[in-house]
Amino acid sequence: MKEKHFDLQRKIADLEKRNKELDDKLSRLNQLLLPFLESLEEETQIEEKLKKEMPKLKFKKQDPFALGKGGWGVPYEELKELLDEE
Amino acid sequence: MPAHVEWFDKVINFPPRAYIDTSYLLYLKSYLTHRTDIRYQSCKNFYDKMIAHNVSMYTSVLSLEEAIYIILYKYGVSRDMKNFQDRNGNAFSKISDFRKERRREFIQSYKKNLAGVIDFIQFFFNLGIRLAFPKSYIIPTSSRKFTVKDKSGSVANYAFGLIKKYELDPMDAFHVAIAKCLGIDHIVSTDKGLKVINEIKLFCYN
Repeated sequence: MKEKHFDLQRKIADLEKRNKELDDKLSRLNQLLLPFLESLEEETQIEEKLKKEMPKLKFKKQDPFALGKGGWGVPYEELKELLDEE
Repeated sequence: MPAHVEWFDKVINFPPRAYIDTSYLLYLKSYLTHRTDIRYQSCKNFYDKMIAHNVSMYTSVLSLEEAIYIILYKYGVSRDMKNFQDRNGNAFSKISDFRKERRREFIQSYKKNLAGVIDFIQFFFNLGIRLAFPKSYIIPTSSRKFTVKDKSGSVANYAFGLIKKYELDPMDAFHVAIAKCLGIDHIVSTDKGLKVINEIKLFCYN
């Protein structure tokens, strides 16, 4: 009976030790994650601010190659010249 | 060791991700108005293949800036200003002079050519190409201190390295550096000049 009691006490001590280790790990993990969370929060705030300042442009969703009748486009030689100068 | 170059019509194995450069975007755009040109057709066919093979396409604001500059100023305003003369009776050779001396005509030309830019942006948004930014990241230096590492620093560093190594055009170097910092090794371009870069695999128009 005494043996069992000591065995249980040892198990409890082991569990407490393990619990403390996990707590320490969790605390370190929180410290590591905090800057990322702050950065994420900051990004979200910026995004919200931008949404208020400038409404999102709405473009008609369609096949891009069905567009462009009369739009911008140049013959090959001209485009090559433009790009070669770049 | 030469860089790995594959011509558009010969590519069989497609990567999961590819970086699209300015020249290729403008070739695709020009296909819309010049559909019988085989060179533009080749670019369009390659785009179709990338879509069919589920290639995630990326580019950066650099490409948009370059394309918009070409459409608005280099092609548009530059062409219009040739119809006007400066105070010495000569044709304008600089946009800045045209803007200063012929303000009204400059604004007219700017507004007219802006339509081409809007048309391009609408086209771009429908292509399904993602605009990517190498983001900042934070690394712990100890349990309590953190350093913010800005990846744009890595982009600049990589770009300068390429310029030094290959005497590359700085804009090309920055395109490649952005792609590399995004973890992308495949560049889609019509610029054969990029084939000197060993660090990338180039898909190019032959």
